Amino acid sequence: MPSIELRNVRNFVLKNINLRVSNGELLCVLGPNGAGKTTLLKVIAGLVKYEGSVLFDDVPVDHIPPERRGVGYVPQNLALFPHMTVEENVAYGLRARGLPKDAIEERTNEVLELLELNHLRRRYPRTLSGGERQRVAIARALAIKPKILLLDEPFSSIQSSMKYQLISEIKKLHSKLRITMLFVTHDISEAEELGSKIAVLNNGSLIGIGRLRDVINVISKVLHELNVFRCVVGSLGHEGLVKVKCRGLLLMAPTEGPLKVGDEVLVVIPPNKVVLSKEPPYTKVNTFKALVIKSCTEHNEVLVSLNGLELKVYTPESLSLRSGDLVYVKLPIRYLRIVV
Amino acid sequence: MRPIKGGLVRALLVLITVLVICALWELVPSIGVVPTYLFPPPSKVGMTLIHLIVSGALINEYVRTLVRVLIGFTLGTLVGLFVGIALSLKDLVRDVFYPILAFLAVTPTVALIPLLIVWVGINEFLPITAVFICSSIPVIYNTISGMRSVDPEMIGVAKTLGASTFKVIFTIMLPQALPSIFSALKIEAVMAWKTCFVAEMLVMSSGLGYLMIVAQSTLRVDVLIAALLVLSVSTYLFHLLFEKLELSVLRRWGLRG
Repeated sequence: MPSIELRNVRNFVLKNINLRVSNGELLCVLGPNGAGKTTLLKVIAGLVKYEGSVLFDDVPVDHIPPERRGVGYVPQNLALFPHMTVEENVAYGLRARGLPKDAIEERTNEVLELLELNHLRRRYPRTLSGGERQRVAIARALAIKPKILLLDEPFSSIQSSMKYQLISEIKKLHSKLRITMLFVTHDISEAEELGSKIAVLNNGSLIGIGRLRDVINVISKVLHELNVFRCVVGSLGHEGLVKVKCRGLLLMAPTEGPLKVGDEVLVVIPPNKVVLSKEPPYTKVNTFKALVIKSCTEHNEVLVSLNGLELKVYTPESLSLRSGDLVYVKLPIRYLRIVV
Repeated sequence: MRPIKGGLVRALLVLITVLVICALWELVPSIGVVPTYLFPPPSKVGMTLIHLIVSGALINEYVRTLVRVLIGFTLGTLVGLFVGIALSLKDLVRDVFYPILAFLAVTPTVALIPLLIVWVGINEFLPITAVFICSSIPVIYNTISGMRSVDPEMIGVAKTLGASTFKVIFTIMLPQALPSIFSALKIEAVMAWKTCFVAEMLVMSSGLGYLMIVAQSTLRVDVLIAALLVLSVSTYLFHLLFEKLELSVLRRWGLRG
């Protein structure tokens, strides 16, 4: 699978992007809405105009049209063809390329099996669930054996509980196919779950690239999705743990860097890693009583107040909470990140 | 079983209502409220209709009208589709023509007949041209508007999958423009008959419109009503044909449940 390189790529959204993705690498592109993430994918796919250069395996592809770039693209709305069955959607690219009937049938069956879609092959997209539609979109992109797979916020319309299962399927698929993959998201928890290198985009510029710990500082500045607390180091504990004070709350958090008592730090936790319960949990570490300020049942999102600190939490469906409820909030140590 | 039963009951109610209306209609002229020659009873209209069919007079005029409608409508639809697709190929061309077509689509075709008399002359081409214009412009307009409403992401995905512009148009854009095209066809199926009828009434010397003008000049109200019934039934069946065709095509393409 080829490497991708963007050299001084700019257009109506992007500003001088320089980026390299290695062979078979999975890169997560993270940034707020309007950062230019989708445009970046479309530049690689050849779907929008740009200046600068895009190279696959060090060969410029700027003059190659999208139909000959060999890129699989899954857009945010999945764009399944509504007038085709699952099978026809998956086979579309193979038919468009004029492959013989036998080869089309063989490859379609192979991909349907890989994505566990065999039982849905005669169904139309409008009859499928969000997760199934998402798998069909990926199957359709994979059917043409693309050199590169571009996924544009594929889980944006999927419930959070389902989302993590699908992310793990993407990871499995990536390790199985070793395909060069770009995964766009504005959700840090998705990026963290993928566990890959992260490129952070904001206002059309690439403002950071690296592992989560390397770019968390940059991310916290551009993403308001993340729970970020301003804290002060209270005391240094054992085994890389520190106690930090955040508006009267005493939190235990892991650290890798050298810290001194009194240092000002940011403590970060994604909304899906906070645990809410109506009953007191077993362990008392990092557990607090909090007040539910706002509850959005549609997205299973809850906003709670901890001593005046507002915290966004994704809750399981079974936990029905209403504004004014008192709940126990646990901030698991392993998911807390300290940004100096 | 319940829906079938419900449907039968409804059909029976419609039949009873029609029979009651016919009975009243039969009754009014027979008791001398209005003269029979001005308001002939249904029995008289029925007899006239049978006589017109048996004598061949109605069939002859009907076939003339039907042929004009079919030729004008078929050509109009085909040319409309072709031009609609061709104009959709380039965004700029499409955006230039779209407002012009929107304006033309709302212009009543019957109002063009005086102009067509001057340009085409009073001959067989006049009603055909009128039907052609009446059918083609809305089909062009609705083809463009249907193709324009296709999600650009879908077009992008089709391209990355290897589809050429030609394939994208015929396999992605056109099928999804079908509901819009069919809604034009259903309206124009009715308008084609109306336009042809008006052209025949105004200037032609054959066809259903001509038959009615002759009947009106000789005060044959029974012939007028009989011809009107034939026209209404034909228009309705033509509309129904496209409604059924639309349903079957959209179901086949999975665009309707």
